[in-house]
This record gives sequence, C-alpha cells and structure tokens, in this order.
Amino acid sequence: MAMDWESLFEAETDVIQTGMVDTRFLAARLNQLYVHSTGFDHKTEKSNITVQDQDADDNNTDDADTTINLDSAAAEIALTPDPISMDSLRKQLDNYQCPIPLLEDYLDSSRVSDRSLRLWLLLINNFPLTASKIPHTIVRLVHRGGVPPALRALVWRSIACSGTDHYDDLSSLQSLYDSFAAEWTPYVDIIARDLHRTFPDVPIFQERGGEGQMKLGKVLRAYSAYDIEIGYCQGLTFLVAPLLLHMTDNAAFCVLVKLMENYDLRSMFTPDMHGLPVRLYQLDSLLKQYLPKVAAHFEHLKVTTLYASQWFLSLFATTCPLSMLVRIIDLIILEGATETLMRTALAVINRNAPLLFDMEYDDEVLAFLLSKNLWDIYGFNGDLLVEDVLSFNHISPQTIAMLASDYRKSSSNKPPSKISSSSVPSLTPIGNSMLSNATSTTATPASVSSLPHLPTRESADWVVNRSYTSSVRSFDTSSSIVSNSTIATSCTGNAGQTQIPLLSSQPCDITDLEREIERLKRELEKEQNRRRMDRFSVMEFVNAVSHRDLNTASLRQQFDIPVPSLSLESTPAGSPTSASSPTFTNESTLGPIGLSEDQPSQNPHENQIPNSLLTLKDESQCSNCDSLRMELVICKTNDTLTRQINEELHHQLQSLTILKIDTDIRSNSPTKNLSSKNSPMKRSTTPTVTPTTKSGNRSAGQSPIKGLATGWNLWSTKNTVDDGKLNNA
Amino acid sequence: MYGSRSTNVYDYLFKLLLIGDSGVGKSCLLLRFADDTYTESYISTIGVDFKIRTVELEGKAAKLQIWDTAGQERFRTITSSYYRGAHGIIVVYDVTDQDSFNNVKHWFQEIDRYASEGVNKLLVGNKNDMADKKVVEYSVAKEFADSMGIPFLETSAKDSTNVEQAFLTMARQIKERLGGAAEKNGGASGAQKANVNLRGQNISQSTGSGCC
Repeated sequence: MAMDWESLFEAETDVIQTGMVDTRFLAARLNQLYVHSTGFDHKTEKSNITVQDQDADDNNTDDADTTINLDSAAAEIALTPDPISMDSLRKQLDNYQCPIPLLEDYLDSSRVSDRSLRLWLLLINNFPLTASKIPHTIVRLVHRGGVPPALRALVWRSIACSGTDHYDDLSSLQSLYDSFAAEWTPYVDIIARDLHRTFPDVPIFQERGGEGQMKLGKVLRAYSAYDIEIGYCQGLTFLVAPLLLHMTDNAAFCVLVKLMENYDLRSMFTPDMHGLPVRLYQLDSLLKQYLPKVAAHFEHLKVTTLYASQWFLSLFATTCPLSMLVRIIDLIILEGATETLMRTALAVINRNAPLLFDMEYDDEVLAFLLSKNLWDIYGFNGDLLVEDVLSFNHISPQTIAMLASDYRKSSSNKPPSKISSSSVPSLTPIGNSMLSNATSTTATPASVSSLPHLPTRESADWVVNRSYTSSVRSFDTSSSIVSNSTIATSCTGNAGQTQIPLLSSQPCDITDLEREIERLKRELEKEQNRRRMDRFSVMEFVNAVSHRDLNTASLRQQFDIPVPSLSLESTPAGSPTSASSPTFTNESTLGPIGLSEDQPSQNPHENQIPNSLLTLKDESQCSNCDSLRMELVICKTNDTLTRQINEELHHQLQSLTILKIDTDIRSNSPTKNLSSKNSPMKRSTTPTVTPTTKSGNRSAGQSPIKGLATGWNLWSTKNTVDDGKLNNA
Repeated sequence: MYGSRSTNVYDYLFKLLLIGDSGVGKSCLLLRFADDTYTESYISTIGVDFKIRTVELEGKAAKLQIWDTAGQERFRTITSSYYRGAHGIIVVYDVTDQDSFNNVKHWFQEIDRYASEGVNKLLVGNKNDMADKKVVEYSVAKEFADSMGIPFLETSAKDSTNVEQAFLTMARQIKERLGGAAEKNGGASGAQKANVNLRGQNISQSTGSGCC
C-alpha cells in the first residue's frame, strides 16, 4: 500500500497546531501496550511491535505476522505487508448493514472520505505504529464522529488485540473458541438466564434462542471456560453484546479476552470483585476533586458511589443508548478502560448537575443515576457526550493510577475481611498457561476437567458451598493441610454453615478452589523451606554431638547428614519438589574435621567443644556450655544409652512441626541457641517432652543430654506436618 | 389502587431490600410495584438497582425505598452492605424453580449475618401464574415460612397477583414494629430514628437547591 506519510505528517502538524487534541491517554495506552506485549517500556527500550491480521471475517486477507522496529524510519513502514486492502475496506463500507435501527441516522453522518478511509486502513493494519506516528490525527479521528460503524469491527479488534503477546496467542484463541464454547462449565445455567435480559430492546437479541442470544451465550460460555477464575459474572453480557453487533462471535470472544486482560477490566469481575471498590474509590476521589459541588451535594444526601458499580460493570450499557455506548467503547478501546470509565462518569454527572442539585433526597438521586433518564440530556448526541468526556482529559492516567495505589495503601491498613486481594493476581496467568497447554492437543483446561462433569446439581452445590464459605469468611485452613486431597475437607470444615444447600442456579466458583490450591502450594513451599532450616539446625547439633561420640554416626546416617557443621547460607532455597529429597547427602561435603560416618569412635579431640559451639558462645553462657560438655562426655561413655536417645530423637523428629518455631530461632544459629540461657529456645523448653516409654530406662529419669532433649522440644510442640523424609522410620 | 406516588411527602420512610436467586423475578416484582408495568424482557440487575414508591398506611404516607439486588453469588460483597440499613427484607424464589426455593434458607442466613436485628422478613414465591410449571407447592413453602415465623405470599409480577399485598404486608409490619415508638416519642429509637421521618419534614418539590 502506498501511503503518503509526508502528507500525513503535515496533517498531524496541523492538528497539533490547533492545540485541541490531547494524546496523553493514547500515549499512556500505547505505552501500556508495549509494556504488556514486550515486557519493556518503549521509552527506554527499543521494542518490537507485532503486526497482526486479525481479520477472520474477510477472506480477501491473508494472515501476516511481521515484526517492525518502532524506532525505524518511515521507509520501513512502506515495507509493511498490507493485510487489509483498500478495496476490501471499501467493500465492507458499502456492504455494511447496521444491525441497530437506532444507529441508522448516525451511520449517515459517518460516511468516510477516501482520505480518512486510508487513515483507518493504516490504523487497522498496524495500530501501534500508526498511533505512535500520528497520534493527534488518530485521536481527533476517533473523537470526532467516532469510528465509522462499518469499520468498527476491524478497528476495535486491531486496537484491542494489538497488545497480544504473540501472534500464536491470538490465532490459538480463535481456533480454540469452539472447543471452549462446547465445554461444560458451572456457569452454563446462569449465562442462559441472562441472555434474554441483555439489550432486550435490540432486535437481534430479542428472539429467545435466536441468533443473537445464541452467539452471546456461546461467547460467554467460551470465556467462562477460558478464564476459569472469572468464569461468568453478571455484567459481562453487556460487554459482549455491543461487540456482537459489530463482529462475529469468534472475533468478539478474542476482543473480550483482550479487553479483560489488557485493559484491566478483569479485576472487577473476579469472584471477589476486588477491582470494583478501587474504581469506586477512584470515582469518589475524582468527584471530590473535579466536581466538588456535586460531591458535596451527594455527601449531604449521603449518596455513595455504589451507584457506579452498575455503570462500571456494564460499561454503562445497562442504561446508555447504544448509539452513545459505542462511542464510549471507541474511547475505551483507544485510550484505556479505567480512564474512560472515570471521565465518562464525571462527564455525565457534570452534564446532569443542575438536575441533580434540584433533587432533595438520596433516593431521587440514586433512582436518577441508575435510570435511562441519565442520558436523556444528550438526546442521542454521541458527539456531545464525547466532547464532555474529553473535557475531563486533564485527569491524567497517572492521577488515576495514583488513586488506585492510594486505595490499596489505605485498604492494606485495614484488617483483611474477605479473601485478600493479593492472592488473586497470582492466578491471572491460569488462563494463558491453560491456553498454551491446550494449543497442541486438547482445549480442556485441566483444572476444569478435574472437577466431576456431573450434570450440574451435586457438583455445583458442592463447589458453591465451598466458594460461598470462602468468600464470606476467610479460609480457616490449618497447617495440617499438606496435600490437595485434603482441601475439600478444609473447605467444608467451617462449622455448619456449609451444610446449607446453596445456589445451584448460581454455579460455583471453581476458581476459588484453584486459588486455594495455589495458596496451599505456596504455604507448603514455605513450610518445606522452614523444614529445611530445621533439618539444618538438627544437623548442626548432631555434628556437635558427633564430635564427642561417633556412635551418633547412626543418627547422621538416618538423616543423611554429613558430619561437618554447615553455614546457614548454604541452605538451598530450592524448589518445592527438591524439598522432599534429602538435601545434604553428598559425602564430599564432609567438613573440616574430616570425619566420615564409618569412622570408629576413637576421637582424639573428644573433650573439645566443637568450633561452632566455641565461637558462638559468649561469657554468660559458659556454665551452660560446661554442663553440656559434661553431659556429652557421659553420653560418650554409654553407648547403649546414646543409641536409645538417638531413637528418641528420631521419634521426636517425626513429630516435628514448624509452625511454633520462633522466627528468632530460625534466624539465629541453633548452636548458639543451645548454649544460650536467654535464647528463645529456653522459653519453650520443658523437660516433660521425653517420651514416657523410654524414660524408664534412664537413671532417675534424667536424660544425660537434657539439653538435647529440651532442644527437640522446640520443634515438636505440635504433631502435624512432616517431611516425607522424616517419616521414613 | 395505588397510593400517593409523590416521593417527597411522607410520614414514614422504610427501606426495603429484595434478595433471592438470579432470575426469580425480583426486578419484575419491583417494576410491577413501583411502576405498575411488566415486561418479559427486563435487563438483569447488575450490582444494585433502586426504586421508590409512596404508599398509604392507615392514613399515613409511607415512602418505600426499595433496593433490588443482583442475584449472582459474587455480588454479595456489594449487596451485603445494604442489609444493615434495611427495615425489611423480602426473600424471593421462583415457584417453577426448586433450586431457588432450596436456596431460600441460605438467603435467610445472609439476613442473619448482615442485617440489623429484628429486621422484618417476608418470603415471596414469584411466577405463580405459571401453574403448569409450578414445582414448589404452596403448602411446602407455607410450612417452611411458618416454621421460621415469617409471612409468606405467592405472587405473580406478570398478572399483578399479590404484588401490592406483598410490599404492603412488609410496610405494615415495619410500621407496627417501629411506628408505635415513632409516634409516641416523636421518632423511632436508635438506629431507626434517622430513617423514620415525621410529617414536619415534608418538603415540597419546588425548593430549588438541595442544600437545606
């Protein structure tokens, strides 16, 4: 395609000179897009943009995947393949039939000139590049008149999907759409319930089981299978329906996925809807800042921003007339969702301010804000609405982002009441990873298929039971849960509340289970790390003992412990899987003293305190050290007793728990603790730990290595979690 | 049939809340009561919706602020904050949907958890016009309601059956509970005081600015 860039740049200069166009939001959106797709900030890194052809509707086009350097000159632009031709675009324009009667008038006013058609073509073929070259022209193009309805499908898709990480991602999304849609999810019923309750005024969505409702249902079912954390949330129908008015269901699915993931809409629809309060807080703050009179009026009437939950969750679609709604979506797609939602909310409140001031009661205000009357003042004039929205373009994306972090700060100070929102983002990649796994063989997400595909009731009840519990009260998960198989028990373990038959019509949130598994995995990993530290401590102590008596070699053998003392720094902070295998098995790590486990009990230095003990003890601990030394000498002279104690030790090791360990102990050298009167260890020390079955063998019930026995007490306060390794006896 | 529709002149102000499974017809009930209309194609409630109607109770005007909530489970985070301020809560199920009735117990537990103590409750079985599809028998629901000491009505938003009665029953109950105190003491006690407005506060619609 020959594009006269010079004339475009001239036009761009003209637009800049008029000074009426603000490209900050577009720039912010572009930047976000680069960061999202490349992981780099294009301000600092040269980034590559992937140009994609997302046109599945138009058979004239062929798929292209071209990488262009953003910083290269216009010369390279000329080399860009031309996935959509001018002809196909024009054909689309001519053949376009508006599915919305309401929009027909509007359609007439948006006839596109040849020149702007070229511009749209550029934008469709490579949004990031075009937008970065001539941002002002683009912004003005979208702001004035909006995207021509006939081109909306292409424009929305090319912009929304331009943040896609890889071309494969998008094409696999497209190819997997059908299999996603065919999958059973617990949301099938509730989706079906909402289909005829979405845009009931729009003809194509009116007929029960008609084409519109069928496609709507299919897209939403596919999405619920794709993003198992969100599944389906009421409100999503209103997001999908406007897309379906412009494009195929397959394309709408891709745009929905990209809107949710790349436009930060996702967080509002998760089971805990943690993104919604953030948006409400942002609106509340912006209202106070930019419309202080209205804010004061609302405050006087005790009207909170909760009314906006309906606005934001449906992108205003529940009440906004379609002809204006599509203009809002234009802006959302071009400039970002949060920004547009805020500016539109402010704009519409501001425009209605005189009416609002006349209202004396909170209910009047609320009823008005939640009704279609809210938009009457615009008289279907989308241009006026966009103009109003643009009048709030002095609210920078940074301001909005700052408010979000303000909210997080202030809410992090409060005690967590429900599911902590911090646990949610970690699951975001599930959809993606699932997708990449599914590309080659099957589209069935493992986590979904792992649930029984029972025909609704039982499984739904079960899962709803558990998700209900989890959302209402925080999980009371005890440390004893170490395997996924026990999760179910814990989920239903919260008193009698969970026994109530719950909303099987509002199917489960499987994702709660997913989240819980993730959390438990993390917990397990943490525990395993701690356990590793414990093993380490044990080792150090055993090393100290073994210098006195090599018969403890059997002990070391049992635990795969090399003789020398090891530094804490050498503790591997490895993966959770490595934790179950013995960490210190390498014979070559035999330490400075050079003893091997098979060495007989002839130790010339038997009366010496091990280095680790000597170096760590301080003056005040001398007496304790001496007594320990004495005990060690006694210990050495009594082989049988030592073995017995070793057995005890092993027995107690099996009942190790990590939860009660004071962090002080973990951070300090355990050897030091052993010899320190004031060490945390002493706090929890009680001599009663010695198992009664064995204590009878001891003279006067006194363990010759009392210090040792009390030391174990520290780790054996609770009989719960254990490493597989320690259980092997 | 309908009392004063003016929203600004009233003796009492009662806040009502509609809860129940998604799709049982909460919004349609409200639409029938507040606007006396019915449509087969009403949009699903996202978050919360809101309508007002003033009714006459024994010669006094009672303004009913009725909050309609989304039925989907995850919206509970949003809707639960409305329970506390409510004077009366109407739990709705669909007589053609056994599950929605089974879940009624759960909704009452929600009330126990979030609402103020002593809040008035009412059980409503909607869509009673669909006799051929009815699966929840009156006797079963009645027995359940009786066991909980809660009034029960079967309604049809479509043909208007009992809709008026349902809301008026609720309003009367609230008035009985709060009204006596309000009239004797010149206002209800405690938490209700702010919400039960006396005749003296009547304000005509023509008073320009909102700041009093």
